[in-house]
Amino acid sequence: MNHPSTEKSNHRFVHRYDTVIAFLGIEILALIFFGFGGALGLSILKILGAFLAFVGFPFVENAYSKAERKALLRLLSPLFIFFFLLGLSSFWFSYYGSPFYALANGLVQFIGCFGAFALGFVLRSIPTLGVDKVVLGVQIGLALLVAITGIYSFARYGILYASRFAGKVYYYDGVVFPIASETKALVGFGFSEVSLSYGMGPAFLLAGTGSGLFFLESFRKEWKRILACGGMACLGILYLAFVPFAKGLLLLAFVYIAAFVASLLYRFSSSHQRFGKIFTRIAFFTLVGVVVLGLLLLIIDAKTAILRSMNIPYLSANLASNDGFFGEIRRQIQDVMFGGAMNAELGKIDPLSLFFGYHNLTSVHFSSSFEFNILYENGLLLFLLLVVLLFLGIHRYRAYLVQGEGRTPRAILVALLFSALVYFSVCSDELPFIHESGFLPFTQSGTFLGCIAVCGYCFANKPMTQEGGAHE
Amino acid sequence: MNNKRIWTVLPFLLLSLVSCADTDELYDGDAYATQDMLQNRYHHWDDGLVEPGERRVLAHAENGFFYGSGDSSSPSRCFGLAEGKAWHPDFFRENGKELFWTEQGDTAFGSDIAGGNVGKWVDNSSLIGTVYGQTKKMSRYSKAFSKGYLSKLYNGQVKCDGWSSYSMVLLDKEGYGTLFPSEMQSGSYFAFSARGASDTPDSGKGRVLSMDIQVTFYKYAADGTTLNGTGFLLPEVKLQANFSSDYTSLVGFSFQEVNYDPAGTVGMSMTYQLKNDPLGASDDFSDGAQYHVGLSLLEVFFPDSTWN
Repeated sequence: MNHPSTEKSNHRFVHRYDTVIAFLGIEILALIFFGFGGALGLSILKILGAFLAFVGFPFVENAYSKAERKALLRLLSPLFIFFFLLGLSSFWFSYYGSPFYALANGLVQFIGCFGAFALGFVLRSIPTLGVDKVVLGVQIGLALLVAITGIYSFARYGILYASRFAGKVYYYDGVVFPIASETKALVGFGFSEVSLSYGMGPAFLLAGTGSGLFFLESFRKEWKRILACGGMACLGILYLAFVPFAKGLLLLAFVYIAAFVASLLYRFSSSHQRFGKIFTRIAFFTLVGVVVLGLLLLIIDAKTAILRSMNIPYLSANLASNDGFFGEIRRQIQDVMFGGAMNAELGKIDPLSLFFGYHNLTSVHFSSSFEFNILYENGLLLFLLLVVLLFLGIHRYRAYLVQGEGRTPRAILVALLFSALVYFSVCSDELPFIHESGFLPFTQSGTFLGCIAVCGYCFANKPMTQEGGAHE
Repeated sequence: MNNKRIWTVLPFLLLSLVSCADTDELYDGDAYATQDMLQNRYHHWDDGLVEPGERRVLAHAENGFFYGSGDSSSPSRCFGLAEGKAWHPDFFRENGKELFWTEQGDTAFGSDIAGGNVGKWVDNSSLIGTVYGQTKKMSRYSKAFSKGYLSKLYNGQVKCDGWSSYSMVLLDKEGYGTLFPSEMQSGSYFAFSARGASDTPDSGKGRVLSMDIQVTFYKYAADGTTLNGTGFLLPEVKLQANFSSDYTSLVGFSFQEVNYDPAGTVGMSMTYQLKNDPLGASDDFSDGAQYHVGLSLLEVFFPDSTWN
């Protein structure tokens, strides 16, 4: 319970500045997803977001009692530790060369992530800000980016270029490039040629938000939402389809099927609550078991390349080959655990790499999975913390999705997070440029930051009263 | 604009999405890089380029053309830029600092590109100011030279480096002709890196070939559409073939020495005739002969030039 004078001044602040802070917050969220200004713009948005979260703190004070805020801090402390250590590791110290630059970057990274999460939290605490507006802000930011890059890409390559020109190459700087493996991306204020995986990320996220519409409560009452949100999701789907980006479309199908099944289970378990609880528990712990077993298998594969030698069709010859998805992860684990493939045969563990990230940057191996890139860049401890946080997040946001009425916009936000998790677990690309060198770590991208902000928004799932007071 | 006009214009706007500017020049993956040397011949001539009947014959001298090390007594001596550097030392400097054939000096087997996988794009900017090819390459003067099949000739890679057919443009006597993406405003000299290429069975042992190489520069006539060429014949240029694909020679001449004003140059062509081959191979890839000799062109330079 706050002091009465604090409560009174918070009420005045809330009523006077709620519209301004809500507008600015959504603006920043949209610009983050748009990727405004490239790396420099993102750094500015990180600081602005953190500042706005600080200014909007009275909303949180108004919504939560002191005891509740302390409990929240304790609950969120692992997440804040994760943010703090994200930019500080032996990898980053080696990358920046200078401890000063590494520390400065780590600080900006922490401020950005913490500020984004806090901003989402603050926005959720503004009583007059409906979740529909947050959804629109996110989708408009993504839709603008997708529209601009899509029009430019099709103007330069043509419609369906990835299938029309499959197998064809062009020359740039005397080097052969396959035309069907690239697209254009808006980087800063100009366009660059990037890998399809990197360039299609925003379109995938936008398309994935449409899967939240499976949780519609009333088609008749929500037709405006369907038109607005569904229309923007269609923009993402059309972009993916007209490239066409086959891998993205397959993943999108998975997202939509998963969302559809989840919506069916939700509707069934609404009237069969005991079944719903038991099923949810079984499904959750099955997922935990699968992930743990999968990680153990990958560690064994790093030492013995067992996946490659198992002769499983497609898996062994393709996915587990040196350049395949599991082959990339194998090399990463070898680097992190043993300091390289050659040392893996000797079996000598490199503790610095293992716990604090790979540090011998003369030869680096990134994979298509953001989780394993975090293992590579930050070490085992932060990787394990990430895995735990992901599972806690799945548990928390499932509860956020199904709480009370008005679930459709919540479902759209959760669909965005699910789409990001699926896509960047298999299609992350931290060296995306085709004609130039450039390292774009996922954890320093606008997409990551935007998703963190949405996580903060969805995390603060305390029901609010219109008068701005918290439920006790 | 009313609704009717919007719907009328919309199809054309949509059609413009198939303008496909980045897909104007596409090739099959193994174009010009097959196992058969004859299939790898590049002999494209842009429209309007016709070699002139008359050409100026240059002497192999300080006021004429230079090639390689100046010593062609054996295949192992046919490489580098030593002769050009001896006759025109200023041509091989950047900001007062001497440039070298490779990062390790004027050697045949040093690095002229930054370390990386064969055939992969890599940032070569660390070699600018040290290595001749990366410092004087055409793509530094205009990014337009980075695009297209002939960007192989403008990326600063002066020798094979294990890239095989992907490092070079292989010509037969028909040669090639190209319009540049920009118009030259000024330049001091012209040079190219080349070697002989042959399908004769002396791979590794090699031999020295003698070629008459004709280089023609084109400018627009007063009418703005007709292209007039000024040809220069470099007689008996000595290049090695089949000894090592890394033994390439820098051949060139100064514009001032040959009284050519490069301003307004919009294109060039190159043809050759085989004057002497100890094994008697043919320079015509379509004549059905048993063995052939081609001109393997690695790089074309217009150093210190300006373009618009």
